Amino acid sequence: MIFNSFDFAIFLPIVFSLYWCLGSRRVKAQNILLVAASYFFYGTWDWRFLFLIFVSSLADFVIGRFMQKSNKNSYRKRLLWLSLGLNLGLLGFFKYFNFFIDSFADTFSFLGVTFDETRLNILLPVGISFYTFQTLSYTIDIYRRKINACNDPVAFFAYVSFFPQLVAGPIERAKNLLPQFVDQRVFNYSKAADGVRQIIWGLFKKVVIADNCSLIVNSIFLNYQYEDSLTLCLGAFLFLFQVYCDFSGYSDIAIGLGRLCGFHLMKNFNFPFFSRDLPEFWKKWHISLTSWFVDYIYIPLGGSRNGLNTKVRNVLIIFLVSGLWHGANWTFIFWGALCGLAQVPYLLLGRNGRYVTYVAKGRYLPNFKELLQMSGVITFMSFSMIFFRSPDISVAWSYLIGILKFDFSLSVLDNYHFVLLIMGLLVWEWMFRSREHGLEIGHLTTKVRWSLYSVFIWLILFNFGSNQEYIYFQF
Amino acid sequence: MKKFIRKIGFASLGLVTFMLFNYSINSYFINHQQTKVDSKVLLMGGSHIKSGLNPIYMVNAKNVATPGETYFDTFHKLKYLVNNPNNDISKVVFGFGHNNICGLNDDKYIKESMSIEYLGRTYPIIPFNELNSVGVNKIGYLKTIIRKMCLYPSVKHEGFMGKGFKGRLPNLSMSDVGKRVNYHYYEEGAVRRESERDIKYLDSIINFAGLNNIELVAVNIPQRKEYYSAIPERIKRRYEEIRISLIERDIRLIDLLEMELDSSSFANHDHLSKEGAKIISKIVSDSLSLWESLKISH
Repeated sequence: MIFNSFDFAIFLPIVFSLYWCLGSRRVKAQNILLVAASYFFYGTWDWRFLFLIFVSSLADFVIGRFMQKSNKNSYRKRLLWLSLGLNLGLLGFFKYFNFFIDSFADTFSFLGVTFDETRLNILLPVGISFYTFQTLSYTIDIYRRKINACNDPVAFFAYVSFFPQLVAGPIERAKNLLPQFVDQRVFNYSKAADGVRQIIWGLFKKVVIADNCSLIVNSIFLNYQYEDSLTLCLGAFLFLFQVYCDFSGYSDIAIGLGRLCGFHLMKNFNFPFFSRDLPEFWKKWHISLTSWFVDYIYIPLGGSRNGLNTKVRNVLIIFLVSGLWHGANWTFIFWGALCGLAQVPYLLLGRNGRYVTYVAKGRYLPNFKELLQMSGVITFMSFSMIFFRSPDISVAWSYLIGILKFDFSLSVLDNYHFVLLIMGLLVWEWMFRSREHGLEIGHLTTKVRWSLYSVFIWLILFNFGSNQEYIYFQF
Repeated sequence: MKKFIRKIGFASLGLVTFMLFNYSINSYFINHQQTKVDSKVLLMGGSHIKSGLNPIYMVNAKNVATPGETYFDTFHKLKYLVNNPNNDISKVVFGFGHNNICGLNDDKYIKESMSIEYLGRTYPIIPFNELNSVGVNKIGYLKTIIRKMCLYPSVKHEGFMGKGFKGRLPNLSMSDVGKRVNYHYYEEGAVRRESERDIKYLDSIINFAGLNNIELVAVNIPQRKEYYSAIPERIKRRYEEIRISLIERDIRLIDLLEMELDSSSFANHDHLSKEGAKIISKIVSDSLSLWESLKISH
């Protein structure tokens, strides 16, 4: 069941109605409903993987409880390792088993040794990268004594399986989200209304922009050997925006759904294309994952405490891990390495935290320098996305070489409307760059708001064609 | 909460009313639509005909082929056009290739993403109960109706007529013959069944044409040897049976499948380029003229 489907359009009102009919005071009953609804939601993907999420939740709940009770560090550490082993083991098996086998086989064959590798026909459970990280943050934070273990198993299960963010994030922290399952939720009209607006905005990005871009992107990447350089550039550019609209659209829908149920989920994208440099970009793109890596890998490795060399090393490590997290393919690792290496100049020059406010604050338009900076960031990320999109490294290199041939033709003009669509998106988002999302229009008059709702809903329905699956579901 | 429910309810009601309003208007236009065809000869079929027969080289012909069109679609289209008393159709030249009887045609209304594409053209001419009788993806149907009939009023609903002949550039090097064959004739590694539905509707086309004094001419467009030699034997056998039955029913067949043409005549392994279409259109036109003259002299 995906968010832009008829099934979900039926599922949501039923869950919403039952949820609030139970009443704010019956927190446990609401949580039970959320668990049931979330398991049903997940089960529509593949019911066989419900067992995995159940086991992961149960294990971390029990481990958390035992960790809380004990004061012995060695014992707590062993429990932490158990949680890490279980969650990363599940992730490693389902996501990386065949990748590691193939890589070992390739390495050995390069050395002249062959062996019969056993590849398994393993299905990747949807959302496993997201919910395992979410439960890991829980046990790690208990170990660090940042939070107390949850006493309520239903609340915990609801926290892990919460359907809006179960399959593609945002990856929530226990200290932010878990208390919300324990506390009473009160229906707030303005938050719910803004939640609906955010859902509409997310659907717009996904259905109107991402799904339309995917048609041309798929065609270009499929036939890249025969396309001219400009068209290949267009393909990379559109793919960047396809990923953005797909993923941030999903996040917006998830956050909006959370608000309908009285939950506050963290912001996952903060208009990243208005970044003046790459460090700023990574503070605004997939924020929940980046901050997870910073808190649980970068800082434990020493962060920036032990000199510049350590800092550079740690940044490269988290980008490599981030690449690997995205997929079991060398292209993702290469992409991560590329993005990590691009950070190094900023680290060496001490310019990786320059920008703290949003661009052109207090001004309507960016200045020329800012425009150049933003264009540079978009250009770099578009090129890096070639590796993200390509099935293997050789294809990615061939694609890049195709661009570097500098053979241009006017056939790219056939797709000018896609560029207009992206320009339109950027202009619109520019106007809302200081806000939570692109349709935060509660401050406008009723007539203007309802006119805008009508336009956006019309566009969503008009483009409500074949459902292209969300890209990040494969992670 | 009440205010929220009220507003959502109001918005939903407004949306439904808007959609019903447009649906009513579009239904009216569809029911009163009389698609005029100024030609006596119709060129019908899928993309092989769409890019393979150029009506400018033929006498009084109009290309109404649409990509991926099945015999199920062709039958309903022909019926719709013939039932318009303002049309005077005397001859139909239709595509008759191995792909026309392959099981992929059954998927076109069953798989959601494909059904949306095909229903997007045929929704005005094929009633839902007819679609349901052969199996249609209901979600795809609903999405198509919403998109085509519920969002804006439109006087014309003639997507089924296609946009005429579309010449392709020669691009044989781009074509992956394995992928083309696999797409048409295989599913998950196994040979697809024939489309019994489309074979039945081919029969319906022949019967309908007979009842309405319309002459039928079947055409098999040239394809590259690498393509047609890779067609599964099962499909070839069944095709041969149908071909013989067409001949027995006095349906004229212009079989150019194995005609050797220069590579510049092909857009890919099973479609002609604009240049190839020019050659084949003239051959088909000459054949039709010859038969006409033989008929007259007889």
